[in-house]
Amino acid sequence: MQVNVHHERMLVISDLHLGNHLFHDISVLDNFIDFAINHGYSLCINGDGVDIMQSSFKEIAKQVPPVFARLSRARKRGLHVYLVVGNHDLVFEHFLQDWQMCEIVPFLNLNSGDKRVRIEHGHIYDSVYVSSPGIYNFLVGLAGMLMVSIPSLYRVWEKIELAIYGSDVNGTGGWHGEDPVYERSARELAERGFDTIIFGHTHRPGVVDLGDDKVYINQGSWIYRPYYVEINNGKTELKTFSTN
Amino acid sequence: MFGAEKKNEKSDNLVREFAAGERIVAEGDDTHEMYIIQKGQVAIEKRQNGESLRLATLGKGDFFGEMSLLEGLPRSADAVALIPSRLLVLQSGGFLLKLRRDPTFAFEVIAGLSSRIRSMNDHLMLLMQESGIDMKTAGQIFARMEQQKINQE
Repeated sequence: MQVNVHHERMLVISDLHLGNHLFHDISVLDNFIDFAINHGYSLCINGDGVDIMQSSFKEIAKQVPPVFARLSRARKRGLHVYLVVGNHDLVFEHFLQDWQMCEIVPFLNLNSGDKRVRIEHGHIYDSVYVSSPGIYNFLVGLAGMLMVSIPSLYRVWEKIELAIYGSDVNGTGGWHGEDPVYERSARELAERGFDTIIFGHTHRPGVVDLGDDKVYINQGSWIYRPYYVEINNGKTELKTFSTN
Repeated sequence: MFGAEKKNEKSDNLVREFAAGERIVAEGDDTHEMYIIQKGQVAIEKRQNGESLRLATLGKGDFFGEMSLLEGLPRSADAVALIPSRLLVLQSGGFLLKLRRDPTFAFEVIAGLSSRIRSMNDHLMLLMQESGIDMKTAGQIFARMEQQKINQE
C-alpha cells in the first residue's frame, strides 16, 4: 500500500454508495469514468464507493460489476485507480483488495504540481461514528429502511437542508452547514504542509478558504449530484459532472 | 533556542522559522522536540572527524526529531535549513494532542519509521557486502552488540 503518490492529473469522487436504492443513474458514472479515461486522469474514489449498510447484495451485484469493469479498463490504459476506504466500504475491504480493481488505501497524500493534496474520507472525525458506532450504524440502517420504503423522504430532507443552509455554494449547486469538526481537522492537516484537503462523508459539498493559500473541499455525494474534484498540476476545483 | 518563534492561534502549536543555512538542532543536543516541515527544505547530517555525511534531504510535509521525542535521548544528527523554512514544533504533550486531533499522523509516523528501518537494513547489507563481512561474522557482531545492550540496561 502506497499512500504517498504523484500524479499531475486526477479526478476525485466520493460517496457513490453503489447499490444504494437512491443511486439510480449509473449511466452518469459510466460517462464520468469514460471522461477520465479519455482525458488521461487518474481516478480516486474517496470512500463509500459501495454501500452494504443501506442496500442489499442483490443491488450491489447488479450495480458494481459494470463499474469495476470500466475501472479495470482505466487501469489497462495505465491510469491509476484508488479507493480510499470509507465507513461503508470497511466490510468490503478484503474483498476489494482481493479483486485488485483498484489500489485500496486509508488516505492519499498526492503531490501534484508544487502542491500537496490530502484525500481522505473523513469518517474518523465523525464523533458519533467513532464514539458510538452502535448508535451510528442503527441510525444509518434506519435511514436505509426509510429510503427503500419512502424514497421521496430523502429528497424532501434534501430540500429542507437546502432551505436551511442555502444553495449554490461556490457555484457548485451544493450547500454547506456541516459540523465544524471537519474544518478544524482540515486545519490540523494544513498545519502539516498540505495545501488542499479533500474530505467526503458528510454529503455536504463546499469549499472553505483556510487562509495562507490553503483550502478545504468537501465533495458531497453522488446520491445528490455528480460532484467531483478536478486536480490539474496542483490546481483543485470542485465541479459538477455533466455529459454535455 | 534557534529560529523565530510564533504560535498558531487556531491550534496552539508552535511554529519556528529558520533562515537558509541556520542549524535547527545539533548532534548531542539534549532537546526533545519533533519538527514537521510546513515550508522549505532541511538536511539531516551526521558529523565524524570534522567531516559531515548527508543522511537525508527533507521537504514539505516531512518530519524529523521524532527519535529524541519518543526516546528522550540526545539528538543523533544535525538538522540544517537549506532554504528559508517554516517548521511546526511538537513537544511530547503537543504530539499526543496532535495524534488525537489528526489520527492519520500516527499512521504516517509509523510508516516513516518503518521505511527508515527497511532502508537501514538495505544499507547494512550493502555495507557488509562492500567490506567483505560474511553472514557468520555479522551474526557474531550483532550478538555481541545485543549482549552489550542487555548489560547496559
